[in-house]
Amino acid sequence: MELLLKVESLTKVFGRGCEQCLSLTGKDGNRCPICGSIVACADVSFELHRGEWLGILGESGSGKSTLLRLLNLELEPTKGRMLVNLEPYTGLDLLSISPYSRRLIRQELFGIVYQNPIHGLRMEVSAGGNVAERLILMGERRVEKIRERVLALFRRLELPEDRMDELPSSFSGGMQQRLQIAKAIVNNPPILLLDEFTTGLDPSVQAGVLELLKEIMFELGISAIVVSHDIGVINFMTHRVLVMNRGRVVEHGLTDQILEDPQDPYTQTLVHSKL
Amino acid sequence: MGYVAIRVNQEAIENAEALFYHLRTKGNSSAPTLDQVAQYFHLLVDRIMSEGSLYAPKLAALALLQSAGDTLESAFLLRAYRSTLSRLDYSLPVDTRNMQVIRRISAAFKDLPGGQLLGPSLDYSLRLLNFELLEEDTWRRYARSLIEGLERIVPIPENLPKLIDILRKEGLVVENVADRSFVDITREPLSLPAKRSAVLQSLSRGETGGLLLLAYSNMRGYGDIHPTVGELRVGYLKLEIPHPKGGTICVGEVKVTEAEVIARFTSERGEPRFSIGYGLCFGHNETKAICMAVLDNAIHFGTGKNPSEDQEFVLMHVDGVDSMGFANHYKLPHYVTFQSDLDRLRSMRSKDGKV
Amino acid sequence: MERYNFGFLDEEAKREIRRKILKAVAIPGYQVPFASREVPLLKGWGTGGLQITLSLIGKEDILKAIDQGCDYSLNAMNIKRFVRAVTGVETTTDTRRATLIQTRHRIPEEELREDQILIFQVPYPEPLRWVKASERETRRMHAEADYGLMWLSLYEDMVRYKEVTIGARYPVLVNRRYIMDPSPIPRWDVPKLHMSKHLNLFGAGREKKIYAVPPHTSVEPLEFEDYPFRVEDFSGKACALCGSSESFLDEIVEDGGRRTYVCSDTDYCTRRRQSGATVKS
Repeated sequence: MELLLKVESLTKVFGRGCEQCLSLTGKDGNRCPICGSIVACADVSFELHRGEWLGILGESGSGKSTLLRLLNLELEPTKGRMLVNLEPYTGLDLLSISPYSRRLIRQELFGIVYQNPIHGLRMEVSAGGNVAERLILMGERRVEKIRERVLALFRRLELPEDRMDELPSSFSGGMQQRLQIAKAIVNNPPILLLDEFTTGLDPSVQAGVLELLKEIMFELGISAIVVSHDIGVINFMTHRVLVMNRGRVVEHGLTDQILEDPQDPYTQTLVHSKL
Repeated sequence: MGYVAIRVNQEAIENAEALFYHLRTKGNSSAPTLDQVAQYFHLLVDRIMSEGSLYAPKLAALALLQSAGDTLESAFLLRAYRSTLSRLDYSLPVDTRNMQVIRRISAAFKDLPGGQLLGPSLDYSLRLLNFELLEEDTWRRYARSLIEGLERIVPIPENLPKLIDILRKEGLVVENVADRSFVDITREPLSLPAKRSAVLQSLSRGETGGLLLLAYSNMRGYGDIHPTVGELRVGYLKLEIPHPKGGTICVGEVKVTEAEVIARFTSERGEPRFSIGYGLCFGHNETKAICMAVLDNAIHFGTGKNPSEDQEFVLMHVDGVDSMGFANHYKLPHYVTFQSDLDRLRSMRSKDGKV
Repeated sequence: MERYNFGFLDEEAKREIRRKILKAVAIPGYQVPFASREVPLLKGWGTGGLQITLSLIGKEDILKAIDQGCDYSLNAMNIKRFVRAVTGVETTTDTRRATLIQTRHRIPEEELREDQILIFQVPYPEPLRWVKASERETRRMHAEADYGLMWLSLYEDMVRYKEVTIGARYPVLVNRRYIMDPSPIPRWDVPKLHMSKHLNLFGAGREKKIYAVPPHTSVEPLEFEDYPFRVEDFSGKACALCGSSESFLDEIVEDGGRRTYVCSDTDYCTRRRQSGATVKS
């Protein structure tokens, strides 16, 4: 498979930081005993290929959400590189560029769906407007074209067309998540980031959203990074998985294999407690 | 044709000005001298100097006379005058421990080293209109009563210990020293987040009413400072500049009010400690100094969720000269912009009769 | 007024303002913070424009000042009176003769030349303010060209009203980089900024910002192709004094509610009348 993204030693320390932060954390906790800083994410490296769906599995506090925010270029990393293999940015380290270029490239390459719709949607802007934003930023200046595209996505995501101009705050939880998905894929980005995006939903709604999203991802041939604490979601949505604990990747491999036969003791507890 | 040319000629502007000044000549009394204004309305003069950020009692008195007692206008007159003056030098940092105190109180302890010195204050008087003041020699009687019968005069020490220092020695205070570097907000634009020196300068020349409003909102509940006035001082500070040939030279003294407010404890850095807010302004203006201290603390230690804890919100809105000017500018003609709005409204209504 | 320096401000202040103007010219549309001084004019009454004027003016300059296009309005008269007093320079109402033109809310009808500078008084320098109140946020948004929210506000207008609701102060994109507030000029004047021959300087005293549109710089109103930007509609109307149907008109309400229209640019109107233009009956 064609390489799309190569992440090297991604590290995020919250706080002052010191020389010992990395070496003294990970085993018992992720607070540095010397300087008190929190090591949220330490030396995470992985590759993402075209069309591949990569899971990041961990409990809350494992550093998986920090990792996703780093990948979405929302946070300044302490250390690390993130190389793209995609024209015209091939070889570019996305973490070394100016905030201006970062924003431009981010909106072209990534779509993101957050656990809490408040982070992913502009609640003061109409549902259609939320989806339209990317298109406008990418240079589309015809209202008719924009509305056509938004309408098509509303249909595909089974959102009520006649509520396109209403505020998303009046939508149900499931609808808000589907709206976030529409917003994330409106300009066909190559990579989709999903952050615990079904966690707040009722189980029945959750299954529907997952099914629909999987279909769409398959149609688009999009690559995805799926962050979740839910083994079911990881199992259903991903080809490969990284297991994180205390800011470290403790195990990685094919999703089937890892869930069948976990090697790391932490993964074992995680898998067995759920099954 | 009914069209009246919208022209204001020079004469009209001058006449408007003349009429304004004429109003004060309608009575029989002669104009007070600058000395009289500065003396009888010293708190008002102090307030003008503080908000105008220029220490010049005579000029402040002139501004008050000229603007018929409008404090916002008076402060503005001083500011505009200030713009014309070259910055010759910066005075050296002053240690307020060396303040020549005329009043000093603490609410935190019943008594403290150096004692509670009430000094000149109406704080403890009943707010009853005092008709005796209408009589010519009342003021002198007050003065006589102060001195008569005194057995001895105890001079106030040159430097009184600070309450905060005592708490500091016990390690009970967390210092707000995020940044000690100095910016001059009259020479450099305010950049956000503002450094503490810029915060203190902006607050110190803020409008008294504006500071009061914001600080009050915090004390009342939109914020969580329950301030204890650790120490409030009114007194004189000597200002010195470096002498070109070495040493320093005193260039004068200014009267100031200083407030150190002890706020709720914080455990921001390690174990819980009190956080301190600092206020200092020109002249005798206790309301302002206390409110400034509350806001200094709220900005630094607050949650940032309430208006008074949001640095940008506070600093952008406390300046009386800015806000007063802007509020009044709406009196200027806006008929071109209004025409533009009318055009939009008509167009929208014609498209969709119900909007 | 002999007590005051030429141009009122002290030389150090003038130098700082000129440096900030140079920076503004170098980065078209970018708001440069400056240490705004108090001048003897209320904040909001043109103190930013005035500080630019005072910093640039030399003995040879000829100053014109207008408010709403009018040379004789109170604000314009006052500014001219003050600048004359502290500099002794000549003032004029003739747009063609002026080297510096300080304006509130209008751009003169006649095209300006390379050797003229137009100085705008700006109440709200931040075009993003009405979608985002915080200055820290708007500065970040400009730095990253994070203009989604601004565009969405136009999109939402279109959805709701089939038209952008902004009257005056129409936001523009300068040099294809920064969104800028052109000051509260009518939309009529916005196209005059695009590729203009003259230098445009904008001063916001209270908000402490200076920005510029240098000559021959692109200035595009934010618009959607299928809902194009449009200026105020005066079709079928003409100036009651000079007969012009090509200028921005003030609508005058007469006794009984009847409307009359006259040129907002008084100098333009006067000159047309002097050259024999009359009202077609």
